[in-house]
Amino acid sequence: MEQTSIVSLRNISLSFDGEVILNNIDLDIKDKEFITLLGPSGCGKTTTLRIIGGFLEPDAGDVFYEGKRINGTPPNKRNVNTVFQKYALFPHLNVFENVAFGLKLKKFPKEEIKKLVTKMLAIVDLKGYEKRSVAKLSGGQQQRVAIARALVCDPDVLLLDEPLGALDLKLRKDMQIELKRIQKMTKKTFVYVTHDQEEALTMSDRVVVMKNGKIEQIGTPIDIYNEPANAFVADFIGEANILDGTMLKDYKVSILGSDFPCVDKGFGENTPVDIVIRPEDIEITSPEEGTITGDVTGVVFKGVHYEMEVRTKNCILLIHSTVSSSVGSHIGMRVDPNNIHIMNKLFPTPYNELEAEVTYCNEAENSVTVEIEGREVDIPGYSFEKGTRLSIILPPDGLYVDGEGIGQLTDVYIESVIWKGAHNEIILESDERKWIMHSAQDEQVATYVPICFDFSKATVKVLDGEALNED
Amino acid sequence: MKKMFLGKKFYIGLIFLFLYAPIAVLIAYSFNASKSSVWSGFTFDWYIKLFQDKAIMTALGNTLLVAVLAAAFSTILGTVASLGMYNLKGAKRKIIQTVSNIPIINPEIVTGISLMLLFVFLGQVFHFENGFGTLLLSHIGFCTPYVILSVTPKLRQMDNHLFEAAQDLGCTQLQAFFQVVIHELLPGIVSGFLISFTYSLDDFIISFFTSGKFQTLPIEIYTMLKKRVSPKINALSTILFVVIFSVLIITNIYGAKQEKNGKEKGDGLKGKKLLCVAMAVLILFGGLVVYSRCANYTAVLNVFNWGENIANGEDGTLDVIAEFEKRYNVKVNYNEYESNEEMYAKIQTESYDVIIPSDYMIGKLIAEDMLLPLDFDNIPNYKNIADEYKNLPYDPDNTYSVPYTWGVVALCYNKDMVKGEVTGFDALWNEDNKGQILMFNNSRDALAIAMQRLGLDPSNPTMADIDKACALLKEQKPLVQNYVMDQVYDLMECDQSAIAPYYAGDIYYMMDNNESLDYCLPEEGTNFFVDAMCVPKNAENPELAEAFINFMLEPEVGRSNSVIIGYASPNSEAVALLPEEIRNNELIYPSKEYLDKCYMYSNTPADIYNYMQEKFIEASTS
Repeated sequence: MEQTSIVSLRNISLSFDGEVILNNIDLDIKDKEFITLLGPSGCGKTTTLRIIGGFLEPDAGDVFYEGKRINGTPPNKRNVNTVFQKYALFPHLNVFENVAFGLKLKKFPKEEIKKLVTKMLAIVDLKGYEKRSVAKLSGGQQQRVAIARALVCDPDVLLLDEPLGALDLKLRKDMQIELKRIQKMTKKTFVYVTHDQEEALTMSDRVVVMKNGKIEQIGTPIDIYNEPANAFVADFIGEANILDGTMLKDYKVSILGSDFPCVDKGFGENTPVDIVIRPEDIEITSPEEGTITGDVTGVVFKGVHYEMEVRTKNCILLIHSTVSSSVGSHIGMRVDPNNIHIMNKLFPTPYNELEAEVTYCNEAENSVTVEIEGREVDIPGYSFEKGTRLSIILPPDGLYVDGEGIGQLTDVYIESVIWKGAHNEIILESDERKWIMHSAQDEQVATYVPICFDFSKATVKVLDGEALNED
Repeated sequence: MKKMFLGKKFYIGLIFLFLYAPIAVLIAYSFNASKSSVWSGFTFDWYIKLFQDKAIMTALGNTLLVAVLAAAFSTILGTVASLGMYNLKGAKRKIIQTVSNIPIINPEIVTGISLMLLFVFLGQVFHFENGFGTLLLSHIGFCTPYVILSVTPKLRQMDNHLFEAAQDLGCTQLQAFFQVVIHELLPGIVSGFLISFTYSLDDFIISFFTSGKFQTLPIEIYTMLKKRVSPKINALSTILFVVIFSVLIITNIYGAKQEKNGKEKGDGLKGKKLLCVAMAVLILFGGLVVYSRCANYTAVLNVFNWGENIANGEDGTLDVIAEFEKRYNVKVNYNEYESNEEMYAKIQTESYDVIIPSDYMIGKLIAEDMLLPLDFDNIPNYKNIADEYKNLPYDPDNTYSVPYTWGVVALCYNKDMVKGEVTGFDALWNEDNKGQILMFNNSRDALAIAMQRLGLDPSNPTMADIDKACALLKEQKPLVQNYVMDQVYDLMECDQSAIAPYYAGDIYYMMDNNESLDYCLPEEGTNFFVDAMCVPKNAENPELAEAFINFMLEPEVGRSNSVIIGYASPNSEAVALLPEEIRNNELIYPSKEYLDKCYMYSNTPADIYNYMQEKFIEASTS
């Protein structure tokens, strides 16, 4: 099937009050496809949709519609219609008038309007509801009026902003199928925004995974699920065991202290990597036959499968299996090389590397004070002259969130939190740099926390290179 | 349980009683045949008289006109403003919202004065006078924040996506507003309009400062306070209350009905069209009224008189203003005041052609060179004025003034209640009448009585005289029931007080309402006062003013005025037309011999007057 781009976004950037909402977005939307923008709240997916709809203008970058640049074209001049999150039906009009609204503006003859509206209401299964007040319809019915109202204008592209968010689960599932049916029947391009990964996988031809104003991955649902681009995508889509590993060499990876054969190559030798193993891909064997072993600590029946928690030597694994093992039993586990998915680390280095200058030396207490991002921070156990430049290597567990809420750095943004089987790998962003932190505690993404440093775990050198760490 | 229920009902009943008793009394009194608070039978007379009273009807028309226009303009302005503010972000919005609320918090008196200063200043630069325009502007000014306050919440409640959805379906921003957003805001807009309308309708303070010669109803009612509030005002208040009450009920019933039916009918478009048409009609109506008032006469005469101080066609009198307008084909702009001091303040900024101040005030105006010498060739009817009212001390050569009314301060007492013989002001210090004596709540008149008793000359007091008089008033204070002005009518007519000093014409009127009352002309003499017509220096039409003064001296006009005002007329020809029992009444027309014993107030310097005010308040309230 030959598909051409109907909408293209090129290098779109947007900030509000100094906060970056979209950071250099590039996206091609193909004609007649069902494409979903997926991501946690605050990732910029709705903003992207509003830029396509014409409700927002990007600070930089171009929006193309069928090859023509349409920056600055108002919404009413774009052949694009939107279904809003809370439907935004006009309360003073009945169902028929709501749907006919766009056609009336386009000055269609009355007969024609009547015909088109009736037809569209039939498509969305609302025949006979013409005279009803929209305020008295159920959520699902309102939703369908909103879709009919947008579709009756015959747009080439329909934008849907979390349209099912307000519906209950059962209705949402029905509407997912319904939407897909309508899309196929009307042969329109649907651009769909959601934070529900299941919804995205169910309906979409392609999924665009976004985080912090950036596109992390674009692909078919199967690609996204099976070949996530990084730990974030893997974590966000479906359930996954995300583990730290080391790529020993091509086709050989070390995970949890055991070596596994794999099908990936090109990462170099002894490179730290992230590993994704889907819970259904771990095969349960007898302890002797397994590559690794562990003890079952929990079993939950999920209808089609059992969800099991297995504690190995140093982490907890999640397994989906149709056969259950009882709690407390010792089992072996095996993974097909095809099912081990290897990805580059989200954080470029395994440690936090920083440079700082000594601003004060307290010889009596054997400690120095350095300045980090404008804050005075004490490093105990060292003695340097004032003015010495230091290189500090701080491992991920040398950082912690200050429970008392004060912190040596305040208002540090939590960019991502990924459970690595034994601990959370947290990536933080302060004013000047990013930090990696390991923590047993769970933190909420997209919030601000105060953090403290534990320099007893750090390696401190004078920048000339002489090591002074006693440990 | 039942007990509690009863208790609740009782409590609610009390609250309603508290809220509505005053209105119930007002409505009842609007049907009272007597002018006083004594019930003397049911009548519709006040309603009939209300509609015949040109001053009230004009003021009512003015008020309605301003209220409708102010409400319409401020509704548009306020709605647009709240839209603008809604689209602002963060701190900017907060600042602008706070600033827009300041007119609501700002004391009205401050707003009023500052607007007056501004308009007077601009008026000097651009040559306009305070009047309809400035009043309308200031009303729009203080109404707009209320519209913003009632529209903004609706805007916040509205799903912001509605506006976007309309645009998405092909509306321009303007279309989106008129086809969708306005429906969501309509309740706020309507209530904003109604709030503005009612606030504008009853605003007194700001109007007082900015209306110039444009009389509105609250100002008109205020000027009537010089005498008692006429029951016509009760009738008018009743009508206003009933109208607003029914509007309220109708909107509530309509609202409840709409709620019941949902919004199924889809009559939104009709409603909006209706609103637009209604707005257009109102504005057109306003314009027409303004236009019609400007048309069809050759000149305008601005008259500034005491409240209820002219014949208006009631009780077989001439409608003096209408008659003058007809005869000269001019428009009389008739304004009223409540005290000499108020009039004095007003003429500093406004120009009037004829004013009617009292004796001492005329002296002050002459001293300050604020009056025009009259050309008596243009006032041939001056010959009708009896000689004893010419060349009085305040205007010794009679160059600036023509007497209009006169009278004396006398004593009114209740024959059945008062103890001892009443022959002079001594009776006000009689211990036997303790607790039943009323005294003037007015420094000039109260101090004059005290000074007279002390043998001092009340016409031109010194500070030392004032101190002595105040000491005497303090001595009297334990005997005094209350210091009053127009409450005197109710207290005397309803047998609540035994004795009070008051103005002769008003005592005559009280005696009409209570047969137990009698009067006494104090044997030692008393204050003799004259109100006279003058032309201020800044008059725009002095010739027409002289024509008006001449007209006022015509016998029939003088008779009419005298009948309505109740005070004595200096016009011999007019007096001759009065019924015998009035013209021969010693109280209203005391003999020349008695008048020789009396004194007149003269122009009191400002510092003495202020000292008087201050000392009197101290004496009467300490």
